[in-house]
Amino acid sequence: MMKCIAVDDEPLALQVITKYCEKISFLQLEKVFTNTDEAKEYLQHNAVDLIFLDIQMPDINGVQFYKNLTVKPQVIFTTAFKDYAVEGFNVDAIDYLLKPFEYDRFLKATYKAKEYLEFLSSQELQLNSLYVKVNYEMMKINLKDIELIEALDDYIKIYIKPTPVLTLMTLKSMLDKLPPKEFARIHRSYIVPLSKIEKFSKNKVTVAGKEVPIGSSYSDVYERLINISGHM
Amino acid sequence: MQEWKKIEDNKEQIEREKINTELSFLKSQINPHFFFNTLNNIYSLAITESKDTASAVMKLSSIMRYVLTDTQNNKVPLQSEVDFITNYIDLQLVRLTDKVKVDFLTGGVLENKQIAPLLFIPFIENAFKYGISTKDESAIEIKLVAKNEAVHFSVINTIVKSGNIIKDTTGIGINNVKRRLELLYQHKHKLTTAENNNQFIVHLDIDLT
Repeated sequence: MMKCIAVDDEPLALQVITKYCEKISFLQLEKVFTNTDEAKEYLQHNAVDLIFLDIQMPDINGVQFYKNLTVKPQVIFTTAFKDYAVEGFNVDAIDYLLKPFEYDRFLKATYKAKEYLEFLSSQELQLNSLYVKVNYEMMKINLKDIELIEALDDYIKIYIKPTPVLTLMTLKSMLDKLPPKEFARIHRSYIVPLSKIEKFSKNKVTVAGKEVPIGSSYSDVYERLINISGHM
Repeated sequence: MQEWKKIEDNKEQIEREKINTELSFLKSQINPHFFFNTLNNIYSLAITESKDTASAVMKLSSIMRYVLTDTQNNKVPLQSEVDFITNYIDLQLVRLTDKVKVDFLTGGVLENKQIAPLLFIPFIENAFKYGISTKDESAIEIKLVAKNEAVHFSVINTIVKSGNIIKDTTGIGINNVKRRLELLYQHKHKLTTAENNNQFIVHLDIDLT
């Protein structure tokens, strides 16, 4: 079952989505919003797989709204105007629905989302380990063993027991390989495994006994940690 | 001498035609987004089997007839213009949440008065563009009063602080209407706009004589 919400400034547009969702067995429309603030608030406290999001809204443009979200569910944009759809290409949307859209078109978009989410979850299951190059050899690292990843000039240092390993790689490309639900970048120089965080405050976390600062441009991590801890 | 007069007549004729062309071009600038949005809304009404579907189709039909046919004339009855504005507002209301309060008040004697068409709508469009929010309460108040041979029109709307970065064609409609007023009611109109206490206020007075 895919949990979703819909955001549109026009109540009528939401009625259409509600009506369509009722017909689709694998979709569960949790809530609809005309107010983007309320939608944002909801997303901070509830896990959602998919958002139907209008682009042209009076208070904030849907693309901007999506960019501002700390945790990003999959998104299907809805818009009455092709010009606006182009903007949506800059964020990874599952699909764009040009209003008015018929049920079949809507169904097709939701199938795309379903397939993509299934693909993601199958990937996450497989991704228990990865290989990194250490001294001309490829070395297997189990993700659950990682305690901390630190950037050191052109290298990154992966803290695992018994000894940390050094590999030639950027922190950014490492982050891209890791499952985003389990790892977060909290500083220009650090990635931490979320499940191993022992203590955290607004400006630092303690992970595997080490204190690590939260960088000023990564302050949304604190909000995310609060949410995660609230769910446990 | 006769030859010279002929040339002058010709020049005048060309000048008039130029103005007519310009006027008809300026007039045609009704925001196409409105038609798309309204058709979308009617689609939504139909899908949800709303009892308002038929009346929305009628209102859109009246608007289209007015804009496509009646406004081809240089002057229309003031009452027709008011009916058009009423339909326009009704169709806008279909799509809005109850966070926004819209009033359209008319007064005085509307009968037996002729006016150039579509002079007010750009200001109303603007109010609907900038005066609505789904977060905060806002209000739009539109007034049209006909007294003697003059029309007093005003729009007051709450200014909504928008984070919306989509650029669009705002301003074209207003600039066109200013130009039309200059051409059609030179020295016979007064247009003022002001910002006051978080409100945007437009006053337009036209002497119809």
